[in-house]
Amino acid sequence: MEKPEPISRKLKENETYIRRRCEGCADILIRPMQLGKGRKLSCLVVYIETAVSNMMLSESMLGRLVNRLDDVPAEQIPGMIKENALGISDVQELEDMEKAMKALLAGNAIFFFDTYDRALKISSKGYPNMGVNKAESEKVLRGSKEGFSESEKINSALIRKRIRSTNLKVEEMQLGTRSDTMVALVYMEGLVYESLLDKLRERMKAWEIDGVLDTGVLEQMTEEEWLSPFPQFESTERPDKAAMEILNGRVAILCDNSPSALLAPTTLNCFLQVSEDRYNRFEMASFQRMLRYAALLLALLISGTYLAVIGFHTQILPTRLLLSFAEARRGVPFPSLLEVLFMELAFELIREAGLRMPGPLSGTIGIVGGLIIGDAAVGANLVSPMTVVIVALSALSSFAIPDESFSVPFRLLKYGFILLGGWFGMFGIICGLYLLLGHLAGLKSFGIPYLMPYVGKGLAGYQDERNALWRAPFARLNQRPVFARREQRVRLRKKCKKEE
Amino acid sequence: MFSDNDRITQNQLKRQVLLSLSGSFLLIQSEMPQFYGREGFLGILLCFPAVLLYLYFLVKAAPAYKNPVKMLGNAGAWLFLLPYYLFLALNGSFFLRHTAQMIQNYLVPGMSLEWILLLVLAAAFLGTGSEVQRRARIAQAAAPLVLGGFFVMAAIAAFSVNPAHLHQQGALEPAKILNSAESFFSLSAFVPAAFCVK
Repeated sequence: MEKPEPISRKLKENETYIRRRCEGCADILIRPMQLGKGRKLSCLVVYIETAVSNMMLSESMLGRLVNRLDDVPAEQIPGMIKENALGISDVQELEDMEKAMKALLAGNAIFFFDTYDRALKISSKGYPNMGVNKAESEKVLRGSKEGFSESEKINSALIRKRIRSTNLKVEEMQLGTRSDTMVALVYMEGLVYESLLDKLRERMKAWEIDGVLDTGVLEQMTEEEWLSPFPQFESTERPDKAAMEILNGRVAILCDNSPSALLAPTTLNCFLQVSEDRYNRFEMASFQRMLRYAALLLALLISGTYLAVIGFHTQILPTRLLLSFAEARRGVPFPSLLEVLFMELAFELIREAGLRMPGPLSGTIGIVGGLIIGDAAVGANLVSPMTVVIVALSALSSFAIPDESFSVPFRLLKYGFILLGGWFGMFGIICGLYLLLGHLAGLKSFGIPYLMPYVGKGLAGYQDERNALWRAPFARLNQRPVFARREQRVRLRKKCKKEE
Repeated sequence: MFSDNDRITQNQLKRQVLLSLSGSFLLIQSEMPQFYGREGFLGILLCFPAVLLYLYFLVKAAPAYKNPVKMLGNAGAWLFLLPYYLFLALNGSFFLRHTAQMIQNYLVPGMSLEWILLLVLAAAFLGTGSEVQRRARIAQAAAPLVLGGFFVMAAIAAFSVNPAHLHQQGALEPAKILNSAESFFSLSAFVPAAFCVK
């Protein structure tokens, strides 16, 4: 085992070492200061900005400590802190840099003094959990309930809370000529492709904009194929998901005033995964994953296919079912294409109204719109009951797609498939599917084909298909996905006895 | 960026060849009685090694005709490529018309052939695009669906065969087998060329 780096008696050497280790970690603050009587003792305090909050305010514990040390002779200061003469609950002496870094990343403040070859850990409240929101749009049954807040600093701290390594870099920049919004790229050094970072930096700086008020603005500024309806960044409100993806070699983009992070690069498969998939056993995770894929296809195709079948290919239906369809449509004055379009648009209206209504009223809108109006429309022979079932199934399926931004293109393309199915039958649906496949096959997110891993079989050594349509048992998910550097592919291996 | 993920893999190439071969065969076989019955099937089986050998030869000889201008000069390259492009164009229009007719007969009876042709052409042109990698990715993603669907249909059809009919067949006719083999080879010959010459 490698010998840990000792703490030097020379403060400058310690400072150089820490600055080198924490290079690119904008959330870690390194503050040299002069303490003691006559300000004779040079010292250095290192801490994570949000984890050790209000450090310098006089009412905080650490603030009081610094103020009181002003009157103490320099040579007595280390001893005083060590012996807890100031009444601080948890002060611990650290012998080497490794321990100091670990304590720092756990959310404590670390003091280094000149001529003293030990560091002192002064406990703080640790990482933030006050004011942290719940992830409302990505609910899970198992796993952390924490969600990102609207401060970039707190959000980066929430990620660091989960990845306590100085290889986790937080690269901050200010965007927006008038808003001066703080934006951060968060990534694992060594895992992420340098070219991806360069591309991101380049695209972010390629625009001059007056205000960046949300990650959505960044997303639209930096995406490659801006005409495609498919999102080329994944967005998440969950710090655990962001941390997991950073460990997979992706980059998280945080923006002040936005409670969601963008993840890049991304693929179609990423949008159908939720953080819970990793926490649940593979059988359940695989079943749920397949359900989501089925929901995706249903949301896109069921209405169009229904029209194609009843309009052109009635021979594939059993006679009794066909008769029941015909019976249900008896008395409806509109062609089925208009009927389906009308119901789909009515449902979109209900969804939009439900979203914009204040909380308690949105449920009422759903009931009034879905049940009462639907029932009345069937009763008045405006639509057939079968159409209501088909549209409800299509809507339900679109809600089962975990990522809202990813379900939007499918909701829009559904209308294309309705027209194709209504006018050209299954032939139109197949043509539409081919066009969609062609579009998706040509789409890339930062060089990664959007259809990975379904178009990546045979790429040397990648095992992404083990976490695609189904999820392999955890022990078999031992390689990072295609986003991470090739030489850093292994993420899980069994320790041999010697290592233990 | 990520250059290692951006090439055409062996797998993609294989699936592209497989789809092109099986696609053209499935489209055309209903029109060619040579492929019907036991003789047709045996002819295809007999010819298959020859097609594979031909493919192998084309792949091995690829460096020789990858850059015809360099090898044969401008005029030579034109002479070499013109018949090939003509062959592709004729073949393409034949397949297009044949596909449209099948769609008109079986999927959308009563619709004008021109509309169908237009839609097929638009889907093929817009969906496929000119990028080689994109075509390869389409093939890789679509192959399991298309071929899987075909095998499922073949399996269902197998259950509806009446074994009594198999006993009513006469002796095998070698001439028909050879005819089927020859037709299959001619049909397969152009497909690999499409991947080897740009």
